[in-house]
Amino acid sequence: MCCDKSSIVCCRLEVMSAATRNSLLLPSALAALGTLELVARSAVEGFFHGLHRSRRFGFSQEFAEYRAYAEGDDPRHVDWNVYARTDRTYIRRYEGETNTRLLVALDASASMGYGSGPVTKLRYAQYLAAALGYMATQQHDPVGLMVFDRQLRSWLPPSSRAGSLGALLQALDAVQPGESTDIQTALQPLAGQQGQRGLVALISDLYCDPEALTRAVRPLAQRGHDVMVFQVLDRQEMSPDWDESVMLQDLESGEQREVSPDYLTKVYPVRLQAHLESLRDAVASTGAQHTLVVTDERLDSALRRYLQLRQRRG
Amino acid sequence: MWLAPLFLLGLLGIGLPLWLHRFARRTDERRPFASLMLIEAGEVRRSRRQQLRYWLLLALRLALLILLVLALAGPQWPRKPTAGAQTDARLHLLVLDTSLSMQREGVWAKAQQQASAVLDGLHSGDRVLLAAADHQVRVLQPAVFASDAGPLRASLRDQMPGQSRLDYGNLMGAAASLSEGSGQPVVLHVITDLQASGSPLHLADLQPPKGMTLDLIDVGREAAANQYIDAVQLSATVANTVDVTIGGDLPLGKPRELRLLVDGVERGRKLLEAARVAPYVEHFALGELGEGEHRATAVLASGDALAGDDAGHQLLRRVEPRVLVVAASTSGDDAAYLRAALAALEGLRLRVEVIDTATFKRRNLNDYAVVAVADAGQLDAAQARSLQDYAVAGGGVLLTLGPHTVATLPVMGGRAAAVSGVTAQSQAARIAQVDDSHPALRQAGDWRALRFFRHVPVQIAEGTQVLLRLEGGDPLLLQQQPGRGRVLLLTSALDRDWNDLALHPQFVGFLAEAAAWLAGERGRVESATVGSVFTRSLNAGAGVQVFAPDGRRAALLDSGGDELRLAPTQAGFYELRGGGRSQWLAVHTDPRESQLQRMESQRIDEWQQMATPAVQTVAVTATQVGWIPVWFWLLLLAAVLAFIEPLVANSHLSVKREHSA
Repeated sequence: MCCDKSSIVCCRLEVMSAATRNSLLLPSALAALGTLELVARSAVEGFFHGLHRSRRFGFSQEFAEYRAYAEGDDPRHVDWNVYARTDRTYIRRYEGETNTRLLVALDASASMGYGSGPVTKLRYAQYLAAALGYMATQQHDPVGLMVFDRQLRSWLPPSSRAGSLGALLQALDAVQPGESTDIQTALQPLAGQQGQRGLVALISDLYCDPEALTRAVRPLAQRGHDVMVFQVLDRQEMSPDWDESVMLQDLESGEQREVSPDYLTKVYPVRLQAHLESLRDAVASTGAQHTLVVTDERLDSALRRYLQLRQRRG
Repeated sequence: MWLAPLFLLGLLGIGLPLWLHRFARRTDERRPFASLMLIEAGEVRRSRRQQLRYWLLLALRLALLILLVLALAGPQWPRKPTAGAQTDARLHLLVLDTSLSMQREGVWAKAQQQASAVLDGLHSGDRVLLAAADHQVRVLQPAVFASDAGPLRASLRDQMPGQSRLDYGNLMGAAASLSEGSGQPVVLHVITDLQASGSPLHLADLQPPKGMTLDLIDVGREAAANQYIDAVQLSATVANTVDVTIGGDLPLGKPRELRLLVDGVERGRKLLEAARVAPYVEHFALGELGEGEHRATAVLASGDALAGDDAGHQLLRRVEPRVLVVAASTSGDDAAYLRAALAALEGLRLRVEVIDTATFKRRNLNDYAVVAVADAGQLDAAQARSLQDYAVAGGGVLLTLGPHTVATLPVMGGRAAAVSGVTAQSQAARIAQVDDSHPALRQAGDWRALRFFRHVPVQIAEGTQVLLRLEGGDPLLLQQQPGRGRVLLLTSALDRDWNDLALHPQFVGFLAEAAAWLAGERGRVESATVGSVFTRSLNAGAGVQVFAPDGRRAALLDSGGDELRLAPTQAGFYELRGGGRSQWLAVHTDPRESQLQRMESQRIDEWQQMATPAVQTVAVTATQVGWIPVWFWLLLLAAVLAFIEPLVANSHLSVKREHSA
């Protein structure tokens, strides 16, 4: 057989061909699936199949330990027998479960609405957020969502209760491109919250000052959060492909600038790389992880980065 | 102005680069982009420069295309008047009289000097055209600016007077066409000897074209004694004798030698008396003159005012056309009258043969130049038909009617009625209408003196012309030209009972002219005058080459069809080669050019006063002063642009290539 019988995900994937599973990681293929729930499930299952059923990153239903019930934990996991004996509420922890709270901070600014292909950056970010949420849910991790642009637009506190994934996906699905970006202002409330430490997945195109990004991420890191910064860019942003001069219009400010292909092929890539380097340095200075994803790439790297970080916390 | 304006349609090709550039550039399209944070504001200026290069490239391509099209269309730029040119610049028609009389000693040199003086006096902005005038007006140099008159002066030096005649009336008519469309005030300078014989019959013919200023430049000399060969011909009265007529109006004052050359061989020489007043005739007896044509040239020794007219030329043709007289009886009145009259002709030597109708059928009519039939009604149908065929083939037929009149007129067609006659001589009909323009009647005298007692009223057929008509309207003499032949019909008989025609002197003259006309070219010696138009019928499809006396091939006015048309420009013998044989044409100078009297001063004044130049102060516009072809410069500019275009295009497109790489 192809995998461990105890792995639910692997068993589900047994009926899928390898090619189909791999293709499900492509954004264009995911876009055809329609609902975010299906997207998330397909992406995650395809991803795990690509990991060759590694126990290291797999989920397991084997019992590991008890821990005290905390707010937000799924009551279904409460061991009622222990409660009867001790009059205390414990929940069962399984192998591979680290009880990591995941908060997805999704940038929904206007610039995220850009896309030269079938999938915009925001849509790609939605896929990524959904996949992360699905993956966390599978591990019984509480998952939360905050959507922001220049300010906080919506907030879904982390929860591992039944239906929390559905709420997450529903909230994600409703996100539309908004206004300009102000990461520092938007993440400020998150930094001020007193609560359990966890993972913060910041998904944004990061069209911001690296200093501002530092000021936004550093308080989270100082509070013990592990921050993953997923920078989502479109292929056209990475390497513009215009043969003639074009009049570009900023999606956030509405400003227009005429750009020659000479500039786009010679100057812009240099400036972009410099900007990316600055962002990486800024993120690294806070102890966070920076991952650049392009909207025509598979979700592997992002999900892998998440698992690596989660594994390290566990 | 364009030489080939249709090429301008090529400008439609401008749409091609416009279309290409329009589709190639998409700068106007606004494209949304995530953020312009990484794009410098200074890039706008850089892009503007790029745009500028783009438009420069488009402009270069358009200019290149336009220049090529314009160059092919052959543009001409209006020539601006040179510095100092007058705003009232004029067109000067400088016309030189090149007629025979200009050959007088010293006249032509003076004419050339006067022409140079005219050129020297022109403003640099004036234009001048050089023309020569004799029997025709020829443009020697088209209009050029006076400052560019070098070729015109060279052409002036090369000109010499010819041998033909100038008619000032014709010159005035041609001047109008020379100045046509100039749009400028025109001055006509005529450098001439003002010969009286050049003046047209009517003063009105000297009227210069409207608005033209006439400048008559007199280079003539006072009248002087001039003798010339007026005519050379075979004597009509003395066999084998050539008569040379000497023309002139003033006695020469000194003896002068006259020589006669026949076929290049001198056949006689005479010394003319000094005091003898022309015209007079000198006779040269040649002895036996063989059959055929002989070229005779009479030459006066030099010694008078004009040497160009001291030679006369003529073809001597010993021809004796045969005439067949057909009568009911060879001893009748009509036969006797015809034979006697025809044999007595002076200018035309005829061999007359009289036969009766019974003998007629045995004769080959093609051996005769003219067939005269007395009382044509006596011919039977077959004879009439053969006579008609003879006429159609080119023969001459003279018919008279008489007692044997039938209903249908022979040869000529038409209907004949019964003989109309009177008994009393006092009631005789007289001729009421004469068409004296016909050659047969040109020499006739008083036709009204004739009396006609009897005639045959006829109804003429189509194509028949009435030359004489009697009182009462009945036709008396009819003519018709069936095919190539000629037919005359007298509706009365040559009989004393019918009329007294044969008793009057004009009978012989009429018969002479009628016989000559009926004989056509068979009995006529042709000649032509320099400058006149000579025509000759040709056999269909026969090509003719004409050689002038100097041996060069002469230009024909029109050699198409069945007619040769030639305007001789030299005196002497022209050779006409064609149809396997060679014929000669004698050409002599126009005697009017030999008359050196000057035009009366009153006539000259009247002529000059006829010129009423309109005061034209119209400024010279670009369209009036000529054109300069500029296609070369356009092509040169296009070549420069073609060199620059790849440089700009490479600069513009280099980004694309790098990007593609």
